[in-house]
Amino acid sequence: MWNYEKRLQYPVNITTPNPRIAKVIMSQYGGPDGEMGASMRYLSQRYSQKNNRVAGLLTDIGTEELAHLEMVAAIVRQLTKGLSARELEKEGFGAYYIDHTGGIWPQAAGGVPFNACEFQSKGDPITDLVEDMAAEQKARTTYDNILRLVKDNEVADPIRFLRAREIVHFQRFGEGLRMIQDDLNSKNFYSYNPDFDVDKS
Amino acid sequence: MNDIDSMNKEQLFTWINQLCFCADDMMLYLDTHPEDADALEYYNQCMAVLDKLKRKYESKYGLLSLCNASNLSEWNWNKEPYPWENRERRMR
Repeated sequence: MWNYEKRLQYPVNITTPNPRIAKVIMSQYGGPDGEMGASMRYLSQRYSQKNNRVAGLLTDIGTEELAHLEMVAAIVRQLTKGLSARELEKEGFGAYYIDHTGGIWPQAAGGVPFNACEFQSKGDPITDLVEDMAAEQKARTTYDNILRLVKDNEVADPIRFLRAREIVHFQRFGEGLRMIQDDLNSKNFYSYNPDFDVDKS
Repeated sequence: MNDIDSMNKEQLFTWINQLCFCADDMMLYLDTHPEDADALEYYNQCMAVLDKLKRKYESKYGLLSLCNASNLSEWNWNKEPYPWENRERRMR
């Protein structure tokens, strides 16, 4: 069960539209390392996470990613709102405008639609957590790439917040991985799937 | 800063956002450090102040969450603009 709070996790107040930059930031909505994939990854993986504390961590980070998804949507919406079709087209937003007008739809910067193949839920806690740590780094790199292109501080400010959260999540997932390994036979971290196999040691 | 009664809508909202962030960040820390008593104490402090701020904000400006709804005199849940609108619309 989820409860909606009527506020963004960090404020987004953009006064100058810029469809060109909206098009690249949209990748963090529905692109390969975006917030939709992040949230679905953690919220899907938690069911086969035997360690209660780590299942809680996946739930809480997966929930925070939903709040990040909302922030990215707010950024894209505010960067494109109120512009004419001609202005959108002139700024490289024509192809997106034809299919979605001013609506928000999950796609990568290059126009590739969101795809569940951008994340895994492998049913093995160690495998999943190692993927999660890599995912946080990939998202951080994407935010770094965005920040090299963004000049407007009203846009850069919430992007910097999102970037910082990737670093915190990477740290927490590293701690989660250590907890799981502490539960395993220390001579044999990777010999069996702690969710699926019975420990015979 | 600590006088809740003299705060305007934007000041209250900003402080709620900041304290909610403290609570969010501490929640993740406590997920992996449940034995840290200082962190738990800090989390409890955040939540106690947040409770007061949210009560104040919601009684004057509308609900932030339906979890806090009780004995409503009108259905004001979707009266205020949504958070993806920029500040000019939300804080008037």
